[in-house]
Amino acid sequence: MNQDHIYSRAAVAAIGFIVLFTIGSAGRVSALTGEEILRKVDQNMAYDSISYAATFAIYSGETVRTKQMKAVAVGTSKALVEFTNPEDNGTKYLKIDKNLWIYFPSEQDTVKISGHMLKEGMMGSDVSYEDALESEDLYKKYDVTLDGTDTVDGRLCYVLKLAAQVRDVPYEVRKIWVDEERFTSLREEMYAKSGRLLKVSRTLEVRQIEGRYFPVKVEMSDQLRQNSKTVFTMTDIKFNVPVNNSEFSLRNLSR
Amino acid sequence: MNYLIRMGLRNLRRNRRRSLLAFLSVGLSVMLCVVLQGFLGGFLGSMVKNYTKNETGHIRITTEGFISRAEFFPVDENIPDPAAIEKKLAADRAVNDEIALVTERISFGVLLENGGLNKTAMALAGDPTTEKQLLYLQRSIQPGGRYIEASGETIVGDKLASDLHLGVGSLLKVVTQASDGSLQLKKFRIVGLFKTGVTSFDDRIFQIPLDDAKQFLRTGGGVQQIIIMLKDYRNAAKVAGQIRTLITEKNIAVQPWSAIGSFPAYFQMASHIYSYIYIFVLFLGAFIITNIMMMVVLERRKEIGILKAMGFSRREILALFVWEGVFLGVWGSIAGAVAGVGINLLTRINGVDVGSFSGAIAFPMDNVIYFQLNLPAVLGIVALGALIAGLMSFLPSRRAARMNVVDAIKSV
Repeated sequence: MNQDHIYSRAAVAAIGFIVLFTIGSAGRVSALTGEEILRKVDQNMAYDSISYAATFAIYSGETVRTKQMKAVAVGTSKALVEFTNPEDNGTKYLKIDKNLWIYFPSEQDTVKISGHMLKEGMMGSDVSYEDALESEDLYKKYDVTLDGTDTVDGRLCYVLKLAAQVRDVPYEVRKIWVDEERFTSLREEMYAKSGRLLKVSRTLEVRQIEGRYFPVKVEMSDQLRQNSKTVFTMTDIKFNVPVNNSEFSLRNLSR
Repeated sequence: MNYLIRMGLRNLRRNRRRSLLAFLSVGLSVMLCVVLQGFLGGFLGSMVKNYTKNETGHIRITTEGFISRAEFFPVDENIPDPAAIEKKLAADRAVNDEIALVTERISFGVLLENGGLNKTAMALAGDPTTEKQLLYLQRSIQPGGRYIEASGETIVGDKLASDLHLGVGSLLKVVTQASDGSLQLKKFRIVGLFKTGVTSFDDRIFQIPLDDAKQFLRTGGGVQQIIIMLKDYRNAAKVAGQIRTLITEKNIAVQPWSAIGSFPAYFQMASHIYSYIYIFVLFLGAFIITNIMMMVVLERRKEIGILKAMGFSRREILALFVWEGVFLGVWGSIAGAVAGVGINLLTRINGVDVGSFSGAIAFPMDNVIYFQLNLPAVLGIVALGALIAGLMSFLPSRRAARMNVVDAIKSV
């Protein structure tokens, strides 16, 4: 049975998308290597902190569930997400590095997601816990090669091929289409070691915010599931907002 | 024709030892088939019983949407008013007479957590009193624990509890997605650990009260499944059809156990394979008849020649020898069936302990198998035994019928 159906895909994916968005944008550059392009993508997303509101639409067959949340993050290592839609109101996710806790207001208790659960991810969901917890820059974990150019939604893109150089990665191979002009990821394919396509993410909307191009609407679909996708839309994005580090603590989580 | 039958009977008495050997050969084969049929009937019946009481019931009522995602045990596919359906079942006399038990159940996947340890598991939620008659988990509770008696209590597979470092008295933290898509946490007090010996149960199952599950999953009183156990599971398809005519609610599906999942297909495949095994065993037994009849034909060549010289036609010679084979087959089959039924009657009452064997099977089944006594099947085996014996005696009989008169008389 699909036990991973049990988790709130929305909340975890929210954190996952923060990581996903670290692949950002910059000006046009020519004669770059794959690693240089990926570094530019990473650098483009660099911020001390970020706050935003978001809508999470989970499509499963004919069913669509929509969730709202507000989130604050420091770099890519710490994030706090609080759901505001009526069904999940008050449920919070706290991410610190590779650890993830969920706070349930009804029981006023916290659960830690760990071990193989992180590795297995969420079967039946479009975003796994590993997606959510991935925080290091990709160029540190993958060998990057430039695999030519391609066009995505009418925009010229560099095509990067990433092969894992460490074992501690959720996907052995990734293929990223990076907007040649804005240095944002427009499409990403994630593969298993066998070469099987596991997931596809597509950037549906990019906006210029505070002088940088930022993907504000992203769709992720698990290729092992039929008729399933998750669309994440960010609003009220503010960079480098003052954040108190004590917000990212278990004590604060249960307040 | 009568004189041929009388001659056939007399010939059988001429060499009693040989006839007895053929008789015993067919008899033992038929007895083996009848006993095998009784055992396999009991064995497969036990598997069906356990599969149905643990998983599907003999008949399962769910929503149409549940069926399309059944492998995920969706909690957002609930029958809104199960009591109304159960009322209709009780009101229809023909259906009600077939039903042994009706209960509501919700099965769902969860994440369990304790001190940072996580494990995925499966929750079985039902009425604790009724589930005593279905899951029988109360029989497997380990010393120091007890069965569920109140809301908020749970019993947990001992391996599952051990993996999470939990014991009797601990709080079990259960996380799952409710029917409205929200993520929920509920804590249950562990009052007992069960050890069934079936890994698939002890490693990932825990039982909770149905009312707790309804509240936890926010079903608004709805339930995922209505489970119906019949007095005779073989009537499941017929009764399911009757129930369908009673239910007027939209998007409700009524399925007999044989239409759910892949197990019934394996079950039917096994039944077919066993049928071929019966035929094979009967052929082996009847093969002795062929050998014996062949010897008889060779020994009685002169007699065959004389009968032909007296005016017996080929057909009469053929019939004479075939009758001998049929008598051996019919008598042997009847005697074998009587012996087999006797054994099945004994084992039907006392059962056969297969505990050491069943422990190795990752499927819930009883440790004691009670043989089945299926009279139509026994009659079928008897008929098959007689038929095969008759067919097997045909070849030597045909050889006798085709003998040349002069050659036959000269041969001895």
